[in-house]
Amino acid sequence: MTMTDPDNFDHIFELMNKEIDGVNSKKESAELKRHLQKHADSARYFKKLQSISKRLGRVKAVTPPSYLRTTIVNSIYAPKKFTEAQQSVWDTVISKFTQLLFTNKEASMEQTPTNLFTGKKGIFVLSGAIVAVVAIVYLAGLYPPADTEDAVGTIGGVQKAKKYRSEQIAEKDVVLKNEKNARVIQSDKFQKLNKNDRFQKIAKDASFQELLKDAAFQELLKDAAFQELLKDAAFQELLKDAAFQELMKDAAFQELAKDAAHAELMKDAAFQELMKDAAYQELMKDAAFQELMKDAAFAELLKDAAFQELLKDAAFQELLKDAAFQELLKDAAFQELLKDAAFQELLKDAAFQELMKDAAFQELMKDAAKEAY
Amino acid sequence: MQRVQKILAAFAYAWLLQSAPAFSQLSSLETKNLRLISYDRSHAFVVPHLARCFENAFRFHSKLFSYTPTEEVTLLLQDFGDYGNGGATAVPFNLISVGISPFHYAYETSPANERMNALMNHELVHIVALDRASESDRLFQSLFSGKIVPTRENPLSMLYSYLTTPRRYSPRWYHEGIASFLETWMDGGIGRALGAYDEMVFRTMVRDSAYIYDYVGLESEGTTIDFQVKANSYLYGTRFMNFVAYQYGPERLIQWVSRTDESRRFFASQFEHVFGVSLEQAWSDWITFERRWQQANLDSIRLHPVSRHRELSPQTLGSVSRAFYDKSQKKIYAAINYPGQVAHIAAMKIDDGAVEHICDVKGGALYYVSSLAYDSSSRVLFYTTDNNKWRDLNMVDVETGVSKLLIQDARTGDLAFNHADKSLWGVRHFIGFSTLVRIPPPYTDWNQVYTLPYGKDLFDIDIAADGKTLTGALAEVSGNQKLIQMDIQKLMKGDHSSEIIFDFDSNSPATFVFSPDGRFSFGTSYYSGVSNIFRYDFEKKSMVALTNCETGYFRPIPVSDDSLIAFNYTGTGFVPVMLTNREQEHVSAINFLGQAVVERHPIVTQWKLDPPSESSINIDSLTTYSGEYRPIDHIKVTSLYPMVEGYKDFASFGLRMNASDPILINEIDLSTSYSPNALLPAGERLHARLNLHSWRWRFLATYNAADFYDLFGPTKTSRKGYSAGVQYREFLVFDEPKTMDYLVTGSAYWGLERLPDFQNVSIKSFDRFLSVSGRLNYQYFMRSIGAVEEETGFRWQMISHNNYVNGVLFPRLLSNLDYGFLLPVSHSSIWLRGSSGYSFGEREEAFAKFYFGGFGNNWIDYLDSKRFREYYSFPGVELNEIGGTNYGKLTLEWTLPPLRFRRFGVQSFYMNWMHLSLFASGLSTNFDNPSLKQTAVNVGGQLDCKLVMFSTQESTLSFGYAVAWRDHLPSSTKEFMISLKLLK
Repeated sequence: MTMTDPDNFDHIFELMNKEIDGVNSKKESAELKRHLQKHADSARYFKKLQSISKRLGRVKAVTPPSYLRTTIVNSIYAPKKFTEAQQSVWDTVISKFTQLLFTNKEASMEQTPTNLFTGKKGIFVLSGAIVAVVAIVYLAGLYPPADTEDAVGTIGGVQKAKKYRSEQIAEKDVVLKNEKNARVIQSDKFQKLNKNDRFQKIAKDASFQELLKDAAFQELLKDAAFQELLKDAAFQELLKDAAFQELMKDAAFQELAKDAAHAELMKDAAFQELMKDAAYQELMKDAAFQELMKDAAFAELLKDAAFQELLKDAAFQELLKDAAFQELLKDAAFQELLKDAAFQELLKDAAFQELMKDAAFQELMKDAAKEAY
Repeated sequence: MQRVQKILAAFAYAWLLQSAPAFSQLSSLETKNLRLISYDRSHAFVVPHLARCFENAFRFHSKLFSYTPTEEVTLLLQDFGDYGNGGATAVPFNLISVGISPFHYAYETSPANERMNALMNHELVHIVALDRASESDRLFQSLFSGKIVPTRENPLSMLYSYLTTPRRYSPRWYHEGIASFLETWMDGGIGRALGAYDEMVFRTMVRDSAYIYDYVGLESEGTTIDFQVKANSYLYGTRFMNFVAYQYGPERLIQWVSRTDESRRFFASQFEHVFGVSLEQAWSDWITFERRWQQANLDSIRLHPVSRHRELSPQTLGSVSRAFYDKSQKKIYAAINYPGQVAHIAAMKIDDGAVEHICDVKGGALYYVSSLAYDSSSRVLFYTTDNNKWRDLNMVDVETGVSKLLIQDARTGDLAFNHADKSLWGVRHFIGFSTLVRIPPPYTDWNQVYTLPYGKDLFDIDIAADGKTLTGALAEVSGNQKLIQMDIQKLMKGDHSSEIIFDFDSNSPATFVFSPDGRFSFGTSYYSGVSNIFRYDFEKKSMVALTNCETGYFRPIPVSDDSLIAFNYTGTGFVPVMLTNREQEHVSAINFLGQAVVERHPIVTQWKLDPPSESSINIDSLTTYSGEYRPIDHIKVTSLYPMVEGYKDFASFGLRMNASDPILINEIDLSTSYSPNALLPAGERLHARLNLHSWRWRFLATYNAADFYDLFGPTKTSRKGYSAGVQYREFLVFDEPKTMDYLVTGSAYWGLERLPDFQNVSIKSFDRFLSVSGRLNYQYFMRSIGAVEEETGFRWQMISHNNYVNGVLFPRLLSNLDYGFLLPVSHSSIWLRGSSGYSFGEREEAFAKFYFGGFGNNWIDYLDSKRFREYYSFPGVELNEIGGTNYGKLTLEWTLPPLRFRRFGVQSFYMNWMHLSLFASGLSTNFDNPSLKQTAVNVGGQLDCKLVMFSTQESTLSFGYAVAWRDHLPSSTKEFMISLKLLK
């Protein structure tokens, strides 16, 4: 379009549009009419506008699909802008920086760039510049500090898709019944046990079911030492042993097992060593010894402190091994002699003890024994 | 319905095969609307929560659809598979089956929020859509005493079924579409209506100008040949529902689906009634819209440079598993599954894309095929089989292809190999919990490391090369998902604390794997709505995008500092590609159609369900019963309807009654009819049949047995006289598709005039006999995606028939052996079928003989259409024409690839496919007597055409032709067969 009066262009253009819209006053319409009569270019242009307006009037209104709007918006890549807060900080920094530079009236108007960076003022300027740079970097990247919610899950230049999401079911809404039990059976150990034929058999046993309910047994199962014991191969063998099973049933043994002293003895390291000793094991099997163990007098003797000391004595241990002494112990007369109070006193006598050691007396005793037999 | 029936059958067998005492009793919890049945006490922990979820969803649907159920809903809680699932039917009962296991989250095709809640929201939509009845439906239900299940024995039941539950006769996309659509809003935005995978599928179709199925073609071809198979029903269905909701409003969508008194019976008619346009037109409108919509999304993606990749294979691989790259061999190992070949593990050379088959994968999963882990030092792959049931753990040597079963029913997947100590790690699913497990060498036993709380799930785990760190995706009850890392040493000591690497919110962090040096982790996410590859830097603790893809990239494998391999989604499957390991600066988001629905129709936000909390639903107060469940106590009549049958050459009219319990363990069928024709003797005019089925047992009794298909000869099964029999079936091996079972049948017959099994053999010297038979059957068949029948495998049968007649025993023994293998041509197989038999009876006796002849199909039939495969069939000669007391038969069969039709018909009636089989057989009888020996050969073929009526009623139209030559006849004999098999 060419207009004869470029200065009137805006005015005439406005009149044209208002005419088409039907909002011109009579005076304005007349003015437009006069102008169009004088200017062919304007008249042609106005006619074009009218034609377009008519055509637009025939077009039906269409609601564009929502994706169209979003697509157009997506097409416009806008650089990152400051938020209001960022802008405010930026303005403050600039203001302060400016003040720092130009507080000196002389310098505010006539300061040359080189003068800005010399002397005391130079230090201020440099410091201000550093502050400004830091502020710029901070605002560009770091300020305001990202809200945790926004920061989680954001990936750089990747635009997150918009998806409706409302409040979801939460853990508190999922209330289960005896979840703990269900989790227990997840373990490999439980599953192996459950598949075991023997376990399946014993699980049906009423006594076993009762045992499982027993509080003491439940405590025992928790005991670490007992758990270790159950793993022990020798103990597993022992459990299979018929005699041991009988022993377990024995009422007297059950009583013994409850005894505190017995429990202490079982813990004693030396006794544990003794239990491993082959000779001791043989002794335990010996029928005569078993009889002896039942003997009440012997039980009393074992409690006697002096006898306990005697048993530790090396010489006495040697004596016990001596075949002749073993024979002597069987002798009824000797057994009677041992009961004799006078003989007991004699045995305590130091002189008699020396005499017993004397070789000549020993020979004499042998000769006397020979004569007696 | 078929899917639910299969689940129930599997339930029956699995329940019976359980040996542990804990699994021996059914229990139920009942409310006014619900009967929740569980067979395993270890599931009891979730029963109250599941019941609350049901009641919560039920209240919503009752209100939205103004729905009053015809009966309570029976809900069967089961643990048949390692991944959760659901199925529903309303015929004959309202029945939902719910799997207790966690879902699989591959490609975000399943929701990651609490699954019982999600399942109830989804499955109850099916119940409402099927069960909601109009006045006329209720009238017919009342007339016929229930909702009728169509049975092939009485095809008229198809008509009655349509009268009682017309909406059952709608395509699967319709049902799954509305269920997925509604479920999304009920779950507050989690579901396929806002699914990125669905957007990707259609975006790819538009990009590639691929064919988008119309609603007939979808059922005919789209749900059968695609590598995604039946997933297309969900894809198309949800998408179409989304479009209709967007275009016309969600309320009108509900109006379409609701079966009210004013609604039309047929779903397509109802569509036109509600929307004023035909379904066909609306579908076409949707396709047009979809092309525009996806073009806009593609434009959005293309605002920034789209990633360039180099394809490593000229062929698409269908579905793929996690893959591994062997640098020394330059090969990728993965499990793949595509139409035409059974699922298998393959090695693909990246230089030329050549694919080598390593070993088959029994039971490949739809999306992920199998779970894989790789020991690069021994060059051994660990993989899972039976992925749709209880997974087995196996290993295969990639060099030799020799595979070995390590742990049966390991129930473990998401495998990861720890190169530091050679242990294998995985996530085990057992009675609804996810447990991180460690499997040390020799990989025959697993150890529990950490069991997650119910509702939380760990998947896609990976272990760094140094064996110190494990990463994985953690899904919360809310559906939020995070990428986490755990210290392996701490895990071994019982400390299962984790560190969040990245919070992906509602987007799944998929298949994140370590780089060889452990500095980075590479994975994918639909963060922008498109599946792109992301790289996490452990040092910088930052996540960056590496790609901007038009379709989607998945399963990245870092190869070097500057390259990585990934799988690019295409319409026919995944293609392995090589990509640059370089940050992508900008990626635009796409728009979701579901989001547009929300913005235009905010009413869907009001469909958000409140959580099923204890405070809002007091299940204790709603419970009417809790205790033992005995199926036999719940048997009731499910239908009673008139029928017509054939007896010899006469029609007979009567009634059929069906009864069963809600989970179909016990079934009773009773039919009685009367032939009014005076030509029949009075003693043959009344007919009756009783069929009882309970667990492994079946009892059958007949009196003058009649049969509907005898109206359409030439094969007649109706017989004068009485019969009573009992049958028992037991599975010795139930590891589908591998099974071994035996079947024992004992029957008594009296008042006969013809042999029960051979209609052309009359009997005069006796009219009664006893029969005892046994069959031992072992079979292992497999089929590929898109197959119409079994394509490869093996079956062996040993059968004994023993008849006791007039004080004489006539034992007969026969054996069948079938072996088939796939040809390099997709869906084409060669089968060798052999059979031989021997009878110990006198040759003159009818009972002592085997009889052969004919195709065996009736003009209208209900038995197997491919009867020419039976040992007694010999096309080209008359029925029962060739007999003998011993025989040998061999058949060579070639099955050609089926010809599928994209659209051949209309919605209510169309043809799916045509399938041609060619065969040649040789038969010889009476080997032991040269004068009586008969030999015959034939060649022939059979063409089968699959027809579908009213979306779900499948039938087979068969044409057969054979020519036979016999040694003592001068010329050949021919036979032409035409047969329509109703209902499959």
